[in-house]
Amino acid sequence: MPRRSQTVRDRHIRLVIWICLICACVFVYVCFHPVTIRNDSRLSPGAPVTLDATSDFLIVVDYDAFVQSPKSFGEMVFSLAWLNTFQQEVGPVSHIDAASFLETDLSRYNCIILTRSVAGQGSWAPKVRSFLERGGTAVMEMPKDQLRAIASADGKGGIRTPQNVTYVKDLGNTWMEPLGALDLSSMTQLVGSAGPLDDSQTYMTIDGIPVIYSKSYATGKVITLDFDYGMLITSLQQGRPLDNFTIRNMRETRQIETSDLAQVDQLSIPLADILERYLLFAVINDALPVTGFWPFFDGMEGALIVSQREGGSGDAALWMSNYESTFKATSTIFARSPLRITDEGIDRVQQNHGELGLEFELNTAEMPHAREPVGPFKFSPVWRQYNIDEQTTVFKARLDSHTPLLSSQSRDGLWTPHYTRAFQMLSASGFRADASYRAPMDDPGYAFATGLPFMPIDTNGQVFNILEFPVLFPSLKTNEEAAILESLLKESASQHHEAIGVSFDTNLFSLNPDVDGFVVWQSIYQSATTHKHWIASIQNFLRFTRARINAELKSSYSGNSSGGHRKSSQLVINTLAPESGMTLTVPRTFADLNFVEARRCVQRAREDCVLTDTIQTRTVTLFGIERQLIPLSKGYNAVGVIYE
Amino acid sequence: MRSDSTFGDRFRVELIAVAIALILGICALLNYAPITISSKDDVGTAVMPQQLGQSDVLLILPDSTETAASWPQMDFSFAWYNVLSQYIGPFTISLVRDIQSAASLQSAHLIVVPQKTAETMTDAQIQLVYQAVQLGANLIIEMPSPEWSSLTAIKRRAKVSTAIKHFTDAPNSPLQGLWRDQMLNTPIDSQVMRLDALDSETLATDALLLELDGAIAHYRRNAGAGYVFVLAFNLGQIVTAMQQGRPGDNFSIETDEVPSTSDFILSEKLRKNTVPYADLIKMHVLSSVSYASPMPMIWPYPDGYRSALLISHETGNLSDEAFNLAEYERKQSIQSTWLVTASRISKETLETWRNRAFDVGVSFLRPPVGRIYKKYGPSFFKPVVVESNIVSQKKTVSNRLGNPLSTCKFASSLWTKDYTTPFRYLSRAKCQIDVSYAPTHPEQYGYLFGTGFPFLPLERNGLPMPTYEFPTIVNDESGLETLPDNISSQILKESETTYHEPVLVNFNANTMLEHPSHLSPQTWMGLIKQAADNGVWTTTVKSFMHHYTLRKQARMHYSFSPQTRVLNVQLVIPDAPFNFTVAIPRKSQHGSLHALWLDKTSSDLTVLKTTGDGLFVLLPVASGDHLVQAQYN
Repeated sequence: MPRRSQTVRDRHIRLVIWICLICACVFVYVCFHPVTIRNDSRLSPGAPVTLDATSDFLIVVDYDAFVQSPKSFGEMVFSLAWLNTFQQEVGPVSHIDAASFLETDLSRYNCIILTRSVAGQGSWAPKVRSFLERGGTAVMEMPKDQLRAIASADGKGGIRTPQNVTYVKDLGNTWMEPLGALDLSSMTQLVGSAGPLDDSQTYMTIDGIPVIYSKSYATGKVITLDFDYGMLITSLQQGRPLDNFTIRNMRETRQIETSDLAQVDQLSIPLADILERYLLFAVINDALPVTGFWPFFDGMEGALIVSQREGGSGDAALWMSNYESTFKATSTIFARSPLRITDEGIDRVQQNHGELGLEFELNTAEMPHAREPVGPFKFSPVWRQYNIDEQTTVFKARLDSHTPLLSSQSRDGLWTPHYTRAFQMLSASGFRADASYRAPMDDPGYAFATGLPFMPIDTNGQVFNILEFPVLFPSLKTNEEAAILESLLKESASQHHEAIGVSFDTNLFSLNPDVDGFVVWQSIYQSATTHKHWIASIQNFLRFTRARINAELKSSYSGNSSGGHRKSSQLVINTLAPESGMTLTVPRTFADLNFVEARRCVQRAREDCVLTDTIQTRTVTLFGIERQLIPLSKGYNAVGVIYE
Repeated sequence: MRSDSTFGDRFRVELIAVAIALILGICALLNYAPITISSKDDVGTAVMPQQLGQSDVLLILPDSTETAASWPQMDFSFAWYNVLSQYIGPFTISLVRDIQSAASLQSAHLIVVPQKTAETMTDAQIQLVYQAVQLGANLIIEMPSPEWSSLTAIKRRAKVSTAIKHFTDAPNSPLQGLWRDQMLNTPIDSQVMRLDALDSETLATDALLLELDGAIAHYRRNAGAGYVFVLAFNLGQIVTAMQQGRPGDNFSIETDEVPSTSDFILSEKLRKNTVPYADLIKMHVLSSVSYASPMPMIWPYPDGYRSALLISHETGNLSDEAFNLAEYERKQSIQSTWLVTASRISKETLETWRNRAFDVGVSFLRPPVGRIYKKYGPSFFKPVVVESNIVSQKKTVSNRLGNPLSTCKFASSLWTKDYTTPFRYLSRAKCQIDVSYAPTHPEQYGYLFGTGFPFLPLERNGLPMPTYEFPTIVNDESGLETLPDNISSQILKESETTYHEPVLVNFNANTMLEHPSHLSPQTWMGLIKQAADNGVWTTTVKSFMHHYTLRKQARMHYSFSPQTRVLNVQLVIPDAPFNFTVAIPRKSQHGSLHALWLDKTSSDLTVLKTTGDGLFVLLPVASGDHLVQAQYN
């Protein structure tokens, strides 16, 4: 062979050897550090809702006013946040679009809420006046023009950036101080006026400007909210992103967590619920006796919503659920996909009346569990990560057709960099409850200003058909955390009446047998029982909440009547309670009259009611406001409440 | 470049690179899957136990031993060593060849002659025993031959049967009520002499103590100033079959898989059992003697305690974090026994807990539960691993601890198909205590081995192995979920009030990893609280054994005068960090205990604790010489 051609051939061989060597090295390296292929999940944005409930309250929004693609958080329409307020505190509430307002028979309602989205509907003024003349109550959020002219201040100060709440009528210092300390500048907007409205009753001021006030109109009453109530409630409960809807990482880590959205520093008090309850049970209740369904089963003082993380340990994760079943408590076990719990384990969860939920991983998750190798071998240089949709499908495949997959929770509380993208994914995958919102690990409490579940609002202003359950204690295990929980339960039993979400790690006491953690864990249930809190899974609380929302509730108040020297009045309530364990809540005092008793009614002819046996009731206090709880039986109930 | 140069010359660099890559690959492979060298366990042997203490109770043992061809042919004489250790405390042992004159038996107030001993004693030696009994000694004799007829009144060789039998009555047993009823349920595996009647006399009305299938099984006979207690069954065999377990006749344990210790328990009824049957039958036999002629004993618990809770933990796959459980126990002011998997727990942790008076032992990993390897090689490259046998595992833990250790366990209580081989391993590893006997299946609990007391297991030749077996009563290794509610609490409660057993419970530190249930930590903490609330002695296995063996080193001489009805007990109690407890009979045929003096100082009988059956009063005594006097009326 000629020397030249041999040299060329040798060069080729050398090249092949080196390429093979490099390829082998690269192959070994990527097998240990595989490439992960990620694909996006389906998205389902917030959608319009229609609620034609039998209720005293009607919320009116204008979907045409909603901005489909707002450029900033401030451009969003928050009118549907009113739904959260009424569903959390009252239960059933009707809701219509502005387009059908003029055709709607307002005589069916005691109170209408004209949200900011309909603030400019001046043509409705005659109808609203007519409603007020019949004794109705209208709540108006930042009204404009003709609506403002009915019974609101002039609004000539224009839209302003608020700072702090400066006055709330009759609200105790315990709650006023933290409310006053809240920086409102990025959470709402207010309308200033040239001066106070004559003959009005001011309930709340921000920066000294009356923002909640009422004024009589004919026999009715107008309650004006001269600030964006929906925006404030949403900012508190759902969190406040940056103006471009991205979330600022507050912890100097690589990934966004839901706790980055939290706006409040005062974690021991549910500030959003103070506002909601004050508005309903103090402000509106001055105009009409607000009746509603108590949010907790069997009239209990509150709820402890328990969830656990399976953490890939399969059936071994069920021991907490087994313990809970010994005293008829339930919980939600968030497990990874693919599900490692066996069929027997799934059966056991059902026997324990527990719930299995998905602990989903976002595409941004480091070291994901929900993935599969590309190709036939388990040892592969390329892996494909499941998106939420695929995780759900794989998870559901293990459940039988009668077992729904309703609840989800983000692994490690991670969230998408976009404000609502994760909700859009969860909505597309069909989830009805989520427990990803959690307080910071080292700072448990009401980071989202509430313990009650709420419907998140998409950037287009519409809601997701999901209830977000905030987790106040993301990984409860220390004595210090237990002490905080104990104090929250105590406050919840006496004043706050909250659903308190706690999450436990089922690996507690296994990899690191921490006795204190175990003792703390068991003491939590004892503490919840002592403070009369319902220990429930997300699914059970969701079912009860849905039942409250879908229930029927109509009340009529007979006004003052003289019986001898004493004034008395009667509130007649007709309800349809779809679940057992439901409880009515009525004011303890109304129009200077005090609750005397509640009796069952046996006749509804011509809306008269013959009172029969007395119902055993009890008093609860919500942030200093007294309410009376009246237990109901499942099905139709007519109740007469006597005030003197 | 030359055209005739070889391939190697031309591609030297590439070949070196390929070779390096190959070597690195092989090294990585060897590091990942190293060459494994297995090792076998060495075996030790059974030995004659040393004479420790001294008392007027004399156990006569055969001169020689012989390896039995089958389990029923074993010599169970040394089972009496266990019986007397558990029940009386100090006693004297003597070989048959040492019984040469009356002086050999002069100080004995109770002479125990097991079956094999009875068979090997000469007529002259029997005559010496006869003389001793005539002078006032009591004799317990097991399945006597006709040569003993002067003492037993059995002149003909009775038929010996091994058919399944049941105790049918205990007409004059000192055990009454619950104790008596439960004793009659005792499962039996023993040879039995068929005695329908005695040859030369009728039994006195109060002489029949126990019946087996309606025949005489245990009776008492007056012989001069003393009494003879004849057992028509082999108590040693019954006790051994129950305590040590019953293998097949060929000493093998018949299971398809690697057996665990609960696979060779005597009877199915012992699988879920809250009654220490083995101890009830011992109590019956020795209390019968004590009832005839008051006999003191040194109680197995110090300071007047009536029971003990011993907690053990295996560290399993966990590392130092396992000792978080110990932290809780420390806060409760108790100590426990830790059975450490070799190499997993750091030296610092072991030293810390040793210094806090926790007992550190070793949990042996053997296949199929696991193996422990010692890696060999430079730096991080370890291409060769050598399996650690149990001697090596114990040495590893011991070296880290900086102290010799005494308590051992086979992880998961795994055994071998041969009945006694694991005891030989333990003997070779110089384990003084083993706690492998334990419930191993989810539904098992309680006295699977008929006792809560430690015992010396017998080798095939009848000699005891030098390792105490301490049975575990509750074990959470397989989970506690299938156990009846509060069964552990019930066992501890009955131990304190009724049976006075040490209750050894095992809570694995990694149970919550493998069989997680709230019942494990809840039961563990519940038992600690229950023990504290009820004054149960909570201690370590090592501390219990410290008292148990010191107790055997005491000297106890006693005499009872039927005329004055006074029991005199002279004690020499060894130095110890605790008080010993002397148990004095409360009832005898000579009357009930009326007054008690310790070193001439009267003791208030109304404040002293008594045993649950009311047979004994418990008198705490400190180290040193003491005189106890008891007056019966």
